[in-house]
Amino acid sequence: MIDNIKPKEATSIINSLVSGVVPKIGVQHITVGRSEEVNAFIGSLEDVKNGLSLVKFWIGDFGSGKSFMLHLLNTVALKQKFVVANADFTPDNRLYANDGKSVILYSAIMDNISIQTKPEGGALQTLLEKWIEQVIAKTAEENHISLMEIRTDQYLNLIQNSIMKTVNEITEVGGFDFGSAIVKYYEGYIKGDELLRRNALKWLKGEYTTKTEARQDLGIREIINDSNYYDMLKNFCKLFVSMGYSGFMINLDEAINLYKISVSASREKNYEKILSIYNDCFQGKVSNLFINFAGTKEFLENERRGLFSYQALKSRLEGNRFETSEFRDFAQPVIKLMPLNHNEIFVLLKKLKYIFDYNYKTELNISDEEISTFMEEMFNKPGAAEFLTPREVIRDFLNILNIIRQNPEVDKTRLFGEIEITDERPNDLILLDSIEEL
Amino acid sequence: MLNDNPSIHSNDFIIDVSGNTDIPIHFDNDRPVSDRIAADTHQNISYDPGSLKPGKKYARKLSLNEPQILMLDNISFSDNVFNEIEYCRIQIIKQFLRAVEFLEKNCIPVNKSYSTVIDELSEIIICLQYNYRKDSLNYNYTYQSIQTEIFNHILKLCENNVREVYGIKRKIGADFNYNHPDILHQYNRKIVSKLDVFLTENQYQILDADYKTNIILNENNTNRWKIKFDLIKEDYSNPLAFEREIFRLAEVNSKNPSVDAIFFEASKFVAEHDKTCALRLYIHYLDKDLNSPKFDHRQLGKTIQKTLFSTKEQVSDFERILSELIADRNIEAAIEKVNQLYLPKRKRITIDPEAIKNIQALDSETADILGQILNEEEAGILVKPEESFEEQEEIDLIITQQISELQASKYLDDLNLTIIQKEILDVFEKQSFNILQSDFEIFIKTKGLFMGSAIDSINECCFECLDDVLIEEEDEYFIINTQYYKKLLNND
Repeated sequence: MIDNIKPKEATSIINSLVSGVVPKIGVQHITVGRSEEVNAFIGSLEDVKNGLSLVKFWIGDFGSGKSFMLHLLNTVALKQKFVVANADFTPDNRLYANDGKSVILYSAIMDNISIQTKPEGGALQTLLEKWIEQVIAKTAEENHISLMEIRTDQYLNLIQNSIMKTVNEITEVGGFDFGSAIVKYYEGYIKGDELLRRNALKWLKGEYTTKTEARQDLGIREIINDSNYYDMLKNFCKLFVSMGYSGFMINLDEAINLYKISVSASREKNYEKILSIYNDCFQGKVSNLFINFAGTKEFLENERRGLFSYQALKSRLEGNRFETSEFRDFAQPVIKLMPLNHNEIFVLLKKLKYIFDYNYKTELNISDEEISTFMEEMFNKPGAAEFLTPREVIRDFLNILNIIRQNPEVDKTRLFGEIEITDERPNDLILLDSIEEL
Repeated sequence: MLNDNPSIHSNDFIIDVSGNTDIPIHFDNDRPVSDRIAADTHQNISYDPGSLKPGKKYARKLSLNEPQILMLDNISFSDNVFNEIEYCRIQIIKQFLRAVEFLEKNCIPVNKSYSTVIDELSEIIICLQYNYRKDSLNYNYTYQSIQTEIFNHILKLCENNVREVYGIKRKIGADFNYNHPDILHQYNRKIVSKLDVFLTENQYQILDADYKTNIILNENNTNRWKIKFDLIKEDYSNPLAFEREIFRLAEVNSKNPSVDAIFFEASKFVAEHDKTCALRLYIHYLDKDLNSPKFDHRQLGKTIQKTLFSTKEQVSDFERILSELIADRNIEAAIEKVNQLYLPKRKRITIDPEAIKNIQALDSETADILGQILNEEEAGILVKPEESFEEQEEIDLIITQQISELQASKYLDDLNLTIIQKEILDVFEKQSFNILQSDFEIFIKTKGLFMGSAIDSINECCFECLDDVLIEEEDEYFIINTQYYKKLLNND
């Protein structure tokens, strides 16, 4: 049923899904029912590699698999030599703000930067050093200086000039300060000044809150703030591409937190920021940038508070009128994640049973009819219609497999009967409609 | 049958068709005819006419004393449907005895020559109404008669009191026999006003009607259940308790032709509290209605129907249950179905083999594509012009690398490790694959390299071979998985 699954992947899949999270590896083996979406984003990644920039909105109800898709995107993008950063919108961060909440989002993005060899995030420093190494190599070659010799103090100025020159070549807005921070980083390294190096990194991650402090520590007059953080992201994108990476992918989950901003003017400003990012990407003002937003249908379509409340976005994000559940259009910026149907869940559970057996080297006696019975029990439990998510179906199924594995004599029908459906939606999601407009 | 009585036989004009035996007329005693008939019919049974009087009748049952017996024997019940019920009659008599006792004890006559207020009032009535000479025959006779009238009136007041307690709205007439204003005034002042207070305050002494009595009372008073029903509604706490109380109420109304109305009203009331309970009670209503002489089939109001049914499916399901009940009269089956009405319908899952095949094919295709991407060679991905720096850097190093290769590299050639990278791996090997990050930084600085980029470059080179990260950070150390390391070696 599954070819080429590795033991490590099987273990990761089973362990992660039992815990209700997306597995770190082997995620390609559990993409049942998402073939078209996968094909769509593979195409999109190819486009971004070729220099385009894209914004995609992954829209689906709670538990429909948005985070799973973002995770899959993340995995595939890393393999395709993308620099990837993930961040969640929270009540404390947003795209537009004038009280530091946007810089918090920027910092979260920079903290979570990952590359294939550092998939857990925190790869900014590595990337920075790799880039400086490249500049050093280029400068050494241009000036006929050996690689060892050029790293000495006497060539510090030469390297610094080279860094500034290269940064200026690839950046537009804020390039000087950006380059200065990188120069300071290099200077700290050459001079063995760890503090200087850390401060430079702190500046690049948007962690300076006052200009005075930044000037004292680094001699840089500007800091990354709510109004220029997006330019810095674009600068980084160019930097990464100049290093040979395919592009910069930023995944922003829990976009419902933008919908929940109670002050309409502030919410609108955030939507305006989305519009400007959207326009930048689709008008070709920026290259190799891929931004994904994941949110619920409310976040997109609510005419009072959602993206559709902002007319300019509504006209851009309104779905293809000719699209149906049968004939989908994945070329649109909005990709709606339909709930998996019974047949798809059946195939997924069968696959999981296979992976489970492979992982534990067992041959559990569960027939197709019993899988079907399990599903029927799940869907007929009180509350299933409102709360049941694929995550819960999968977790319960694997839990039952675990019981059967350890207690082969157990009555399966009784196990199925004991399933209970709980409402796992976050409380604030349930109470969303009660938010008052200020 | 011919009459054997010779006296009748002697009269040829009279033909007896009654079939009754002849009753001879005896002129030698003063007994009433009816008594004599009873005595002659049951010649062997001794007959005591006084035993039918209330005093004697209830003497033992109510443990009456002599004066009470005498008093009760003097009064007369004007029989009616209510006081003919034995239990009610006893309660009336008991209340009457309590009332009289109250009057005797608490209503003291103004003139001390009278033993009780009733005696005093009797004297007043005789004086005002008849003006007989005291101790004359008329006086004595009338005095007794008035006393009886007063007791009878008190008895009527007590019956009305018991009726009130038992929820009988219809009262018996309790007008006093004398219309003389002064008599009425005195009577009201000395008896009625006092009794009104007493009877109201002492209602609690009247025992609740027992089961049998309630059945008879409810049979005769078809709306009596409404009082109890209002109490049940007021005490509503949960549908189960409510339903239980309604069944109790219906049980004591089993002979009440309006018993179906109890279930109907109960169904209406409980609809806003518990839907299933409301439907169950409606089923019981319909059952009673079906068994009544006239089938009304009353419908619940539109508002209640809206409360009870949220979908058309529920309405049609309930209608079907009712139709079946009317047809088969199987109330248990109808109740069972009603209990299931609001339960979510079990959804059947149909697995389509054709669809399954398609999904599996599509999924396999996608997994292949993803598999290819996730396992593909990285060579050729870094094709950007800017990459030339790195390539050129490698070109510089290839010369030395080739020299080192001549010295037989222990690492796989495919890895294309640079000299410095191999040197780093050797350092790891010497340090048992664990190096303190600070130590490593010192080492790497001597080579003029950045720590992060050096580690990353080795990880990148080895990633394809291992499909995982070779050098990992763990706390303050850089560590290498020995199994991974072995995979990088030529002779392994």
